[in-house]
Amino acid sequence: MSDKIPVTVLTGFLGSGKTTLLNRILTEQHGMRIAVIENEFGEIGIDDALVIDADEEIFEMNNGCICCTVRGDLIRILGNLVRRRDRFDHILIETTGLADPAPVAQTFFVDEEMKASLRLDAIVTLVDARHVTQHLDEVKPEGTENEAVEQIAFADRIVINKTDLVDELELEEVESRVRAVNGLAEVLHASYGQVDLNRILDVGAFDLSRALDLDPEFLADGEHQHDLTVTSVGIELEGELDSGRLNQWLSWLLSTQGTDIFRMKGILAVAGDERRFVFQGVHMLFDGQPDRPWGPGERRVNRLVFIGRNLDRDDLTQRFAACLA
Amino acid sequence: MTEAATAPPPLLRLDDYVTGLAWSPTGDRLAATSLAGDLAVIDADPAGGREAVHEVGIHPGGTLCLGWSRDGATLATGGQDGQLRLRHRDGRQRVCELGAWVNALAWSPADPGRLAAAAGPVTALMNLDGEVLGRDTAPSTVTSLAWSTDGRRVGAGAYGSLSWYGPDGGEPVKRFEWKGSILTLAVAPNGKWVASGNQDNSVHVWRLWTAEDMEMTGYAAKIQQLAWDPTSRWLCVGDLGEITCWDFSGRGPRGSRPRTLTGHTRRITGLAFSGKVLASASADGTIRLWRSLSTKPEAVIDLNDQAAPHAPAEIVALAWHPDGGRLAVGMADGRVELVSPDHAPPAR
Repeated sequence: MSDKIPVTVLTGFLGSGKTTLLNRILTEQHGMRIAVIENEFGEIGIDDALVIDADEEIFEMNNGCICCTVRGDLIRILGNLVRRRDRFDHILIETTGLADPAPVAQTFFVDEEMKASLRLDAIVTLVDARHVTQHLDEVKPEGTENEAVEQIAFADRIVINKTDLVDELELEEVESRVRAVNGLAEVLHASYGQVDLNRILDVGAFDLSRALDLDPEFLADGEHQHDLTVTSVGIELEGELDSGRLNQWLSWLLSTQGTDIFRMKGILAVAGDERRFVFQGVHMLFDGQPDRPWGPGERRVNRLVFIGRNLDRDDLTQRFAACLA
Repeated sequence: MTEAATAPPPLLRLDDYVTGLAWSPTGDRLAATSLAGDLAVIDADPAGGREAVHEVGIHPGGTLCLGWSRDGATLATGGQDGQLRLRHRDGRQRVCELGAWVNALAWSPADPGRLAAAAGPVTALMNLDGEVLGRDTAPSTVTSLAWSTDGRRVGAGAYGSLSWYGPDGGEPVKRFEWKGSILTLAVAPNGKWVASGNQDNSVHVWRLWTAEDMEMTGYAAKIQQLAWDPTSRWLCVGDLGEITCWDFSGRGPRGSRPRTLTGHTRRITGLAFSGKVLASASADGTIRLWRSLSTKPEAVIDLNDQAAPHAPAEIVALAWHPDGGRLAVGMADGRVELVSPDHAPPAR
């Protein structure tokens, strides 16, 4: 269904400039009916927009999937929005800097009613160029998450905002830190929230039918300047995969490490299928489908990217290689 | 210019998605609400013209729930504006600020002057003047309320628990803990069971009051439609298009296979019994009537207008008239129609 309403999740710490960007979106996308769901009090007052406050209610799903959580408050609010006769053209969900992005994203994969009428377009994370390094370095007590790291890890687009407050060298450092956590997201620079809205809205980051771009550049193991627990691992491997062994490995991987794997994406060549197989996942939720056929002279290169905690690159590579036909 | 044949106008046209329909207990009036915040009340019998009330936007953001008191003297509505409104037949009105979306309300089956309302995580017990007698705050939003048949307790379903309150509210008198998100509740007419439909595609059933429980899992979607038959033998559950009926006679449904009623092609949006006949409504635009839960429907009433294939009927609410002679049906586009169970043209 192409008439699903796109939903953009806008996350970032207090002071990263979310409200400024939100106001820009609401002002510049005039003519569009936009609904904003926010859970911190902002100062938004735009004519055509509906603003609804949400209280973060995280529900664990009783389906044997331990990391499967959804946002009950969003299900109620969105359920109510999509029933209205006057449809919205776009929905923006603004989360606090402390919110966990996983339940927000998973809400769109788990609930049938949400799936039928909405599509998660992208998770956009704003970071403050001046302070993000400090947030990333903050040592959290054992067992708790560093939310700044999580929000970057889950993002499809990362906007490094307030670049005017840092020099070029600092900006480079910030960008490399951000990319070390999330090698998949497109990183954009902005000051005063001045980012090209076409790069963050209606980008179809979760849409498997849009060409999945996995940039091989970051796939190589970059040098680690920091001891990171959350990283991206990219694997590139030529050859065709045995579908049985591949399925076995993926389901084993997700059942044992699903909690630690935040996002994953892949383009695979499966033996016996002329088409590319594209997939993506959020924790244990997996979504995949055949894509376009491989070109006549095209090298059958498998590309796989994981973003997660305590990822063992060598082990992942080895086990993936064992799936080759 | 020639006029194309057009369908007769609907019984009622609300401004948006119909959120609820309720016949008064004597069946003399029908009330309907919508997401535009409408409230419409009409006389059930057209003799002498329909005396209608139709107020738009009484609950800005949408009217979310409604219900008649047991004696039919008072109609309550709750909305996204955080208000509960009481409308008495003598014309008096009361407005009560509850401060958060009023997702559910339920009148006592024993006392026509007592109702429970759920606003956000708060369950409030109120009297006819809209005064809150007692309130309690659950850890998460209360989505559904249901009274025990004797009117001594009212249950509030939320994420993580089903809490039971006395008629004056306040601290819960009992709590069924369960790690799941409850969306709807249904108490069996014999007072022995309460069933919940849940976000995680399951149904949970507790025995009152031992809290012995069981669950039915593996549905295709979250469960929002439940109905007990009047004898309390059958619990019917609607999901994406199938109705499953669990038999509570004898040793109960544990380990048994349910009877399934198939035919609907989209989400089930209403289930209601009148005597032996179960009426099911679906977003596919049809009402199906199942006598004695026979797997062959007695009637399929299609409200889709064949002359207007681009505007399919999406039925979202259903209510039997107390005498079983007609059904009120509400649609996503705001239309409310009356349907006769013998499949005659809509009663007017």
